[in-house]
Order: sequence, then C-alpha cells, then structure tokens
Amino acid sequence: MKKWHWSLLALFSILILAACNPGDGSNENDSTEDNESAAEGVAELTFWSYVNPNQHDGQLLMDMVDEFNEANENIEITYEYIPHGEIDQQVSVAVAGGGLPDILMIDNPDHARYASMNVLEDITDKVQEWGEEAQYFEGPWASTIYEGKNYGVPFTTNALALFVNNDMLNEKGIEVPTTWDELTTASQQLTEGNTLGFSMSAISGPEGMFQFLPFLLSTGANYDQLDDPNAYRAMEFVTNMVDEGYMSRETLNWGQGEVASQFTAGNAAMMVNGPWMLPQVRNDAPDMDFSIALIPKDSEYASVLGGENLALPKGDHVEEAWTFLSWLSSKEQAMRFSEGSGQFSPRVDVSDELGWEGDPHLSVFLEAIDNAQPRGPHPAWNEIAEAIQNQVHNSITGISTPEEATEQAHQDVIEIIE
Amino acid sequence: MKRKLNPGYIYIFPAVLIMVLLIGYPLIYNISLSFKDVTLANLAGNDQPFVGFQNYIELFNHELFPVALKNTFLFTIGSIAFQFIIGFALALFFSMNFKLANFLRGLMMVSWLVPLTVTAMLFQFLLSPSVGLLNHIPIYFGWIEEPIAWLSLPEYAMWGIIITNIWIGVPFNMLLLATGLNNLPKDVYEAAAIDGATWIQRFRHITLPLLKPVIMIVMMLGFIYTFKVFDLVYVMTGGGPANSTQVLSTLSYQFSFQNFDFGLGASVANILFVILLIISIIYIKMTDEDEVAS
Amino acid sequence: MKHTFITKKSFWLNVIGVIIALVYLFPIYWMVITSFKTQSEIFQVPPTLFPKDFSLASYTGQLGAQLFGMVGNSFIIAFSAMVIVLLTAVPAAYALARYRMKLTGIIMLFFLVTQMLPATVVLAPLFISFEQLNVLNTYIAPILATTTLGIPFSVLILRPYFLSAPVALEEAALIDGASKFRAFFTIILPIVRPGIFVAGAISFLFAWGDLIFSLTFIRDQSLWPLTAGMYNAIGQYGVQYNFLMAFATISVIPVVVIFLSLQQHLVKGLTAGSVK
Repeated sequence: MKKWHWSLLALFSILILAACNPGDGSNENDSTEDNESAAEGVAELTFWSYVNPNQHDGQLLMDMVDEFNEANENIEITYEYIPHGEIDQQVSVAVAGGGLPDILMIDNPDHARYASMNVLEDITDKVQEWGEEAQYFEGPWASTIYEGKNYGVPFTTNALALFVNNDMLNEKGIEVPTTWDELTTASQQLTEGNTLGFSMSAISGPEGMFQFLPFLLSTGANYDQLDDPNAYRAMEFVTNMVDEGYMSRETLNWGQGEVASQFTAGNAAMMVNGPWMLPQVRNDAPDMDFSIALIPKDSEYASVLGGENLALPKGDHVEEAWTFLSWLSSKEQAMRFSEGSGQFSPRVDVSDELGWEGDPHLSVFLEAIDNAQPRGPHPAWNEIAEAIQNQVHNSITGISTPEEATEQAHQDVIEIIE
Repeated sequence: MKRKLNPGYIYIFPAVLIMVLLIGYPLIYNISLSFKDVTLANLAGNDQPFVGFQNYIELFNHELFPVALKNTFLFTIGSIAFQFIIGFALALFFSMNFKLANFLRGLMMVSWLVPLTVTAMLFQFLLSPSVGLLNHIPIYFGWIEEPIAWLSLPEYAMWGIIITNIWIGVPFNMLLLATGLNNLPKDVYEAAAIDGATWIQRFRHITLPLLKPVIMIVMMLGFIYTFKVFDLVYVMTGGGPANSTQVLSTLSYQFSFQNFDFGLGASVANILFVILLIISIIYIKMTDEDEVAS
Repeated sequence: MKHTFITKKSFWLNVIGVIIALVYLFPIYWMVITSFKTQSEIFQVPPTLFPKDFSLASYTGQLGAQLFGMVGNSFIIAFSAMVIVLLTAVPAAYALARYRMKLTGIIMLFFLVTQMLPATVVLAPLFISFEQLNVLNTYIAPILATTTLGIPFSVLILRPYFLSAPVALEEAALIDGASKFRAFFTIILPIVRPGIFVAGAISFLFAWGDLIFSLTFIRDQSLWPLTAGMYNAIGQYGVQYNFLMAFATISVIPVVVIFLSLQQHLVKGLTAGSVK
C-alpha cells in the first residue's frame, strides 16, 4: 500500500470533480426557479430574525409580518428564526451556497462588518426619499452607515445601566453609587455570605466587550485610544472587583443572561445590564424592589449602544424588501412593537409619545441611550472586541497587570485597525 | 481470489460512494479555500485570489496557533487516557456476572446520549463555584476549603472541559470494550483457570492481547472524536479565559465565522486534518502488521 | 451462566454496581431536576437538591405543544440515518474483513479520514451540495449529513467483529450448497449481531444528537428535531436553563428506553454468538 495511495487519491479527486462540476451549472437553474414563482405575481421573501418566536416579542413581530402579508397581496414574507449565535455562520453558508434572506436582522456593532463585505444593498437613495432620518436617535442611525452610505435602518435600541437591589442597599443604608469609588465601597459593604456586591458579564468576545466598554469610555479613552494614560484604570477597576471578591470570578464565563439570573436569585446586589432584562427580572423576582441608575463613572458617565438593525442583503427582491422595511420602521408600527415588546424604539417620536420619561426604570435607560456611543463602527469590531476581552481576561486572571494588559490590548488593536 | 474484480469492492462501493460524494467534496473545497484569500465579500464569486501558502505562513506566525495546538493535544490525551482507564475498569467490573450488571451498564450509557450542547451547559453549571454541585459537595466533605472556579481560571479551565468530556466518553469506551470482552472465547479462560493462572495473569496474557483490535479501535476513534472537539469548548468557555482553552477547531471557527477570514480558517482545519491523517496512517500500519503477524 | 443462587459476593457486586451508576448519573438527575425548577431557584446558593417549587412550567405551555412534533422529526431523521448506515456499512465491513483486497488499507484509511473534519468545516460545502440536490428544507439533508458520521464509524466498529467470526462455518455452509447471501444471513449475521446493534444504536444516536446540520439545512421550524428546538430556550442574552433542561430530558427519555430494551437483544446476541 504505497504508490497507489496517490493514484487512488487522484482517482477520488477526479471522481469528486466529475461529481461536482455539472452541479455548478444547476445552481443558476435554482435561481431561475425562484424567479418563476415571482412571475406568478407573488414575491416570496424571507426575513431572518433572531427574535425568538417562542417569546413574547418574537410572537408580536411574527404577527406584524402576517399582517403585512395580508395587506400586501403580492408580497409574501416568511419569518425565519436564526438563533443569535448562529447568524454569522448561517450568513456565511448562505453567501457560499445561495439562499441569503431578503431582510436580515443585524446586531448593530456587526453592521459595518457586513456592509464592508459587500453583501448588503446600498439603500441611500431609498432612505433619502423616505425622509424619516430626522426622527431617529443619532447613535443607532450612525451604526447603519458605512463609508457615508446607508446600509439599513435601526429597529430597536438600548444601552446599559446599573440595576440596584433596593432592599439590600436600604438594609445597609447605602446610597445608589454614582462613581467608581462609591461603587467599590458599596460593593464591599454589600458582599456578605453568598451575596456579592456587584456583577457584570466579562465573557470573551463582543458580548463581554459591550459590558467593558462603558468603563473604558468613562476613563476618557476608547477602543482605539488605549494608549490614553487613563485607559488602564478600567482594566484595573474590573480586576480589582474580582480580586477583592466583590464580583464573582465566574463572570469570565457569564453572559448577560447569567448575570441577570444571579441578580434575581439574590446572589448579586447590583449588576450592569440592559433594558431587555427588565421583563425577566420582574418575572423571576416579582417581590424584589429594584431601581435603575446610570453606570457609575470614573471621569464621565458613559454607556454603549446596543440594539438591532435591519438590512437588505443583495438579491432580486430589494424593492419589495424595502416596502416591508419602511412599513415596519414607520412610526405607527415602530410604536406598536416598542409598546408591545418593551424595547426601545430608535425613533425619537415613538419614545416621546410612549411617555416613558415618566417611568422610573425606563427613563434612566432613555437617558443612557441619549448619551450612549456606538461600538466602533468598525468592520473588524469582532476582532477588536476579541483582542480587548482577551486582555481583560489576562488582567482579571492575573496573567498580566492591568497596565500590561492595556498596553498589549493597545498594540493588538492597532495591528487590527491598520 | 485472483480473478477480474474482487467481489469485495461491490460490497464496499455504496458506503464509499456516499462518503466520497458528501465528504470528499467538502475536503477538496476546504483545501482549495486555504490557498485563497476569501472573505464574505468574495465567498460566492469566482474572484478569489490565489495566495499560495500565505494563509499557512500567517497561521504559523499567529500567536494563537501554538497555544491552540498545545491545548488540543492536552485535551485529547487527557480525555482519552481517563476515558479509557475508567471505561476499561467499568467494563471489567460489569463483565462479572451479577444480576444488575447489564441493566446498570445500559443505564450508564445515558451520559453518552445527552445532546452535547446540553452536557456542556449542564457541566458549566455543575462546575460553577457559586452554585455548582461539584464544588459544594467536596466543600461539604471538607476536601477543599474554597470553591474552585474551574472554568474561569486559565490553569483549571481546560481540566473542567476534560472532566466533562471524560464523563461523556466513558460509557462509549465501556460499551465497546464490554462487547469485546464478551466476544472473547470462554474456553481459553477455562483452560487458563485449570492451569492455575491468577486473575492478573489472565488479564495480562489473555484479555489484553485478545482484546487488542478492539482496544486499538477504541483509542483510534476516541482520538479522532476528541481531537476535533468543538461544541464542548465553544459552549463552555468559548476558548477563554485568556485563550487557555482555545483549540484548533475553535480557532478555525473564530477565523472563519467571526473574522470572516475563510482562507485562514480553512488552513487551521487542514492542519487539524493533516495531524489526524498522520495518526491514522500510523494506526493502519500497526493494524496491518498485526494482521500479518497473527 | 450458572448463578442460580445469590451469593454474598454477587450481592455486594450488585450494591457496588448500583452505587457506581448512581454517582455516575448524578448529572442526569441534576438535568431532570433543573427542568422542574424556576429560573431563579436554579441560581440559588446553596443549590437545592430537590425543587422547592416543583414547577411544570417548562413542559407545559407553548413549548410543550411543539415537543411532540419535534420528537417525531428526531425519530424520522435518526431512524432513516441508521437504516442507511447499516445497509451500507455492514457489507462494507464484511468485505473489508473477508476479502483479501489490495485496497483494504487505503479504504480503511479513507473511512478514518472522512470523519476527521469538524462539522463547522463541512457545513458550507455540504450546503452547496444539498442545494444542488434540491434537498434543503427536507429531512433528507440532515439524514444524509448524519450518515457521514455513522458510516465510517460503523465500518470501523464492525470490521473486528467480522474478523473474529470463524471463516470455517461460512465455508461449511457454502459447501452444503447455501448461496453466498444465505450463508451471510444465516451464519455470519447472527454472530456479529451484537456488533450490529452497537453500530446501529450509535449511528442512531449520532443522528439523534445532531444539532448543527439540522439547524443549517432546515429553515422550516416544523421540521426541526428536538436538538434544534432547544435553541428556542437559548435567547440572545442568555439561557433559560429550565426550558433547556426540559428539552434535554425529553430528548433523552426515548433514547434511554430504546437502549434499555436493546440491552436485552444485546445479551441474546452475545449468547447466540458464543455458541459455537
């Protein structure tokens, strides 16, 4: 079994090539089939969303899609749920093999990356004709723009804030902290037995970065200014919280959902999290008295924008997709989704009309959103987030000092950006 | 049997055909991808510049490559060694004739039946220092004083995943070895017993040599399935903390699907593949010699 | 096979066996019990060994309604994959064990090699192939994809069984005038039956546990198997552990039942094989 190893390998390769080549042609046939069904008068579109149809907001969004389908008899939109963690992979597979959706939900820091990859339709003209830009918050809107062109419309928006368990704070007579020093002191006082003072997600990658970034911004630095003399303070702060035992070391593996569960189970007196957690917190801990505050500051209050955008991947049905997108983004529909799901609309007029300023919880988030900065936008945001969170991990686990970790993060980010 | 076409090939043909069609193509696709500069922008089109070995050069110079390589081997060897030893011990134990042996052995297979994603999350839970039972129980008995943050400490995280994988893999080892044990010819043992051989002698001189083909298969399959591990690591730690659990498959995933650098991702997958290929060839050589010898 | 009385030794063996199994399966208990807890009890310190509020919420409601269809989908996919695997792998393993072929080594290598690529690497090319075969969004796609896990595995597992089956018996049957096929079915197959059970069961499980293939090749949620359905418990910002564990529990029960009943067949197969 020696020489014919190779001859057999060669044979296999020929077989494979023979098997695959005729197939390449049939790929085009597939797309003509799609056109034929369109020729019958109904354009069939797909909408990839990671809003879970088994949850309240997903159900609402599906109902809205159904309603749109009924009102538009020549457009049929199919709602397809793609789990959030699978979106990148599924889009890649669809780009390679065909079958990209006509409407795609994108987490806003990923928007620039998708736009730079040439898979999204430039809808600048349509957006201008639509003329609703003035109604949008600046941050969410900016996240849909890449190199001066519009590649989508924001769908929801949010920002992080501090959740505080009032019962625990009142018991110890502690005021809601507004600065890092106060946060550290309060955490120390609140840490007792199984309850830790503070919790936030420090998981690797973009999700952890989302939570770390407000602290970094608060020092006056940013992801691309890690050589700022104060940048290390953010790294030092989170490391210190873990070292002192005010924050669980497990936060290195916790997503924001686990952090919220820690909070509702009474294992953490305070946490950094977003408004999407409000229903879960109320549901899991119905008796808890909690309040929302801005994330305590180092030198300035800072928060980071989260939220979903909708984009139109390149395809044959951009016009119909835009009809849907502009309908879904209209004030009336945006208001309906916002009211029904409890998520913030990126439309100023919707937020105004819903009167959420009067709500003690929501008003703080509104304030946070107003001051929040977008992540990046940078097409390599994932890599940047990965690099910085790696160094956060190095610092928290003691592999490097906060100063060293920040310096290394700076070098890694520069390398990615250039 | 030296006629025109060996009839054996006819029996083999359907199995080979399916595999060639469904895996042969991905294999070639991936090899060609690794020599090109491919991002999401040109993943579909024909405009994929050929870059020679550039992806491989970039990979070999990447700081994470040696880390992932070392971690993959640590994970594989750690998992297999314990899976095999524990699996073998249990197979021997349950091969003793007692009433519940078969039932219990079947029951233990459950750990192998749970979907991998669930096992990963379940153990993330069990290993957690605050609510994890695998920390509370030893503390209760006073074996350890402080809970261990298995998955959050770079020096422990890999072992947390290895423990999980051992739990998953033991029944598989046990089942294959047990069926192998049951298939051993009983008369040899009876003869040995008559000759007054001790339990250990019988194990060393009869069981082990006779079981060798099965042991080889178990080790081999174990190696392949462990070496390409993805789901467990991806769910439990995502490669962290501080890349202490970054393995080749998660690195490939990160390059391809998070950074959209498909060429680089493919090159990692190919390295993983080549390592497994080399080990398989060694294995085939060994079994070949075996069959010639026997 | 001559233990008609319960000796002291076998009593203790039973006890030790039970203890081993209980300790080993504790995580399974934890999985089941978690599915009956509320989300906040799951994170309580110290953890509760038994739910304080025994909650059926994870099983009832919307999720419960979907479960039924998903169990059915999982069965269709796993069973079909198993059948295809056995139909192709058994003859292949037989031939690889029985026929002195020049290519035995390379074919063995081929089967080893084909299971070496991580699933994430084969996804895109498989997607392209299935698109061309026009089987996306059907059961066929995940069935075919999961047979690629089962076939090489089964061939490698079965070959030693065939190797250990005595050639003389088969030859004797042939001399007696039995056809090649009859000799195979009446003489060889019963001897290797335990191996076939193992190969079949494990191929079934490969397909049963598949997540990524179904998720990628099937968009229509009504065709999703249980494992893909688990994703409904995994939201963007976290996991609802009680729902997830409920899905896991449901996904494990049928398989445990199959395995325990198969255990009997395994024993029968073994005893049949040992009578020479």
